[in-house]
Amino acid sequence: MTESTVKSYPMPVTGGSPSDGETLLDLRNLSVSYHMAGQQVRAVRNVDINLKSGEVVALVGESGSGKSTIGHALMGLLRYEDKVAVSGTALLRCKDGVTRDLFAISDREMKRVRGNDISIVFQEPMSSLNPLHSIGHQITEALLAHRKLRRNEARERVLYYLRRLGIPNPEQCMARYPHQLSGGMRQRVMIAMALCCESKLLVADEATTALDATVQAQIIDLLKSLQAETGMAILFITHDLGVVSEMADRAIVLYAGQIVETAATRDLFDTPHMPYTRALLEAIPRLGSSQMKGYELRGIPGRAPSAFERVDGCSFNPRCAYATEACRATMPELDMAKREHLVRCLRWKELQLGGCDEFAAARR
Amino acid sequence: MLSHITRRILLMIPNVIAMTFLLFATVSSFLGSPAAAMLGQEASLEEIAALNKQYGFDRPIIVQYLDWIAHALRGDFGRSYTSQQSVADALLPTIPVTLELSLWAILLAVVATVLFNSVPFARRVVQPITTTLAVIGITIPNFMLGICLIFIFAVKLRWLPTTGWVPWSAGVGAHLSHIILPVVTLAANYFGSFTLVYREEYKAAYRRLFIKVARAKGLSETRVSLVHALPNAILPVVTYVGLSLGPLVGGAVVTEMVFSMPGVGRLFVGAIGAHDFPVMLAIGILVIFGVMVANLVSDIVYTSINRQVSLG
Repeated sequence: MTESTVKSYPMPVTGGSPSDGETLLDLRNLSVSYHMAGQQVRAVRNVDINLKSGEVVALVGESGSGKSTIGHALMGLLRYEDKVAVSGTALLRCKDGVTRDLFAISDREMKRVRGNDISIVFQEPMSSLNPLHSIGHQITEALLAHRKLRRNEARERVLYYLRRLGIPNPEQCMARYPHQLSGGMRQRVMIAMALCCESKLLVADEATTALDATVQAQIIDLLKSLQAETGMAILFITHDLGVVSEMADRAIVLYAGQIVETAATRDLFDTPHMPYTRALLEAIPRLGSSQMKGYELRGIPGRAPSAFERVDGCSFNPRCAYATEACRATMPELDMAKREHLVRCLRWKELQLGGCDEFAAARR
Repeated sequence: MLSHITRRILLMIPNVIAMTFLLFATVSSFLGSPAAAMLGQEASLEEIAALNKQYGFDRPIIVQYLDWIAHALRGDFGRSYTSQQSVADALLPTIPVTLELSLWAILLAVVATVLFNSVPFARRVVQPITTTLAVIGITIPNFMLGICLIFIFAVKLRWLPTTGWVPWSAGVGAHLSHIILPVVTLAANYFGSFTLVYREEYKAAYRRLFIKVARAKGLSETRVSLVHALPNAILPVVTYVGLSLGPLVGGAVVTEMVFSMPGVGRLFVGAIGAHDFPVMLAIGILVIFGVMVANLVSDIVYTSINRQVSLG
């Protein structure tokens, strides 16, 4: 499928306000802190995310920005870690019509929600599957955790999903073991596993990062068509802004565990207000743009602060070209630039950062 | 798979020939002429020479060996020097005793290891003392543990018989009550070493991503543990079981002596004391075969659990 690599993706039609409009997940004031080496380390700070049914929201950030931690917290996977404290509320509207706070419910209840109302696909398909069990066993197990089905019914459903994910010879695939499949195939299996109980919310935790570019494009295509078909919402955790522009209705930019900007994807690419977002956009390599006038692929100087470090004022100020004394002294609050466009920057009004023109143009 | 098993069995033949020759050569050069031992201290040189000639001990070792192996291939391992019984008659009845003790002991050790170290409930309750139990199991000598168990359960509490062997035919209850203590004694050591191996593997398996995936499916912790962590953690134990059958015979020797079990181990001790050369050799071969078969079986079990590895 070499065509996928050159194919350009159309802009999602929804553009920020999906047809359904009902709130599926209301995550408020999420903070996650790890207790490490005798000190409390805050990996995620006061994050609010609102997800509507059928909406695709990208969570963007560098390594260590806390984006995966948010996904794992939602799945209740941090419950099993020692020395991790999660606070906040995560109200999820479950399929049975009941809204549950994922951080307050019992382990037993969480077990029923996991895989049924909220599913996850991890970054490394190579190690996500248990090497000792067949593919069929591992998917069927996910299905049977939540559905009372007879053997052949379960088998039919698993086969349906394997087929739907474009796996050749699904019957054969069920009998195979993980080491007999390629990375792309394994990730398809993982997605089949996440979808088989028809969750309304899928957390894709860098689901395409470990795959090579061709396979990555195929998986993104698949996720898009599956999303359109099932109407599930996706929280797409990624550091790849190219993927964001292809997938997401809305993007949330994280820096050092905080939301620094959130907007509809097009809006974010056209008029970023936070210098960090702008810097991220500049750091996207583009094919053929080196000939373009004035184009320069720029990295972001310095590095993101580790969770151990404390930065006074705005956490991006040491790397920001526009930082002033005020930026070093006060931590800016999230400010509303316009409807559904929030930015955490003291100077956003005076800075005219400009968008990622040719990037935006390519999508129109 | 089948061709691999055939090949492994065929490979045992040169192995057995080499090992038996080594055994033959070492034992005969260590013990010298068995005639002296057979006739006792008062024997005259003439008597010894006559006996040497009668049994063929005066021939070169290689000739004696070839003669012995030619008979052995026909199932004739000679006669015991002490009881004048044929070796087969002396050895065969002891094999089921030792085999039964060993299999029960290994089974008990594996089940206890897996149970105490993976079922979440058992982990919470027993975890703090498993390390102590494991270390005790490894460090305490077999005979001491055996004597302690006899003292507590047979002498003080009078729950179980002290020593002796009762066949199945005498009643299941009687049979089992006689083998409980020796089995526990034998198993203790294995429980200790299996626990130390298994627990580390189990912890390592638990850190792997597929455990998170299994939880994310909505599986219970018990299922995550037993279906996903356990099979990964048990693999090194499977190899270890295969390797430990050789040393198990050593453990069985002591245990059988302490509990007066008519097993291979007790026969072996008697044979050494009496310089009973044919019996020692036959037991040597039995152990060699046992170890090789155990390794083969553990390899087959291993590959049936872990499909990433295949025999062939």
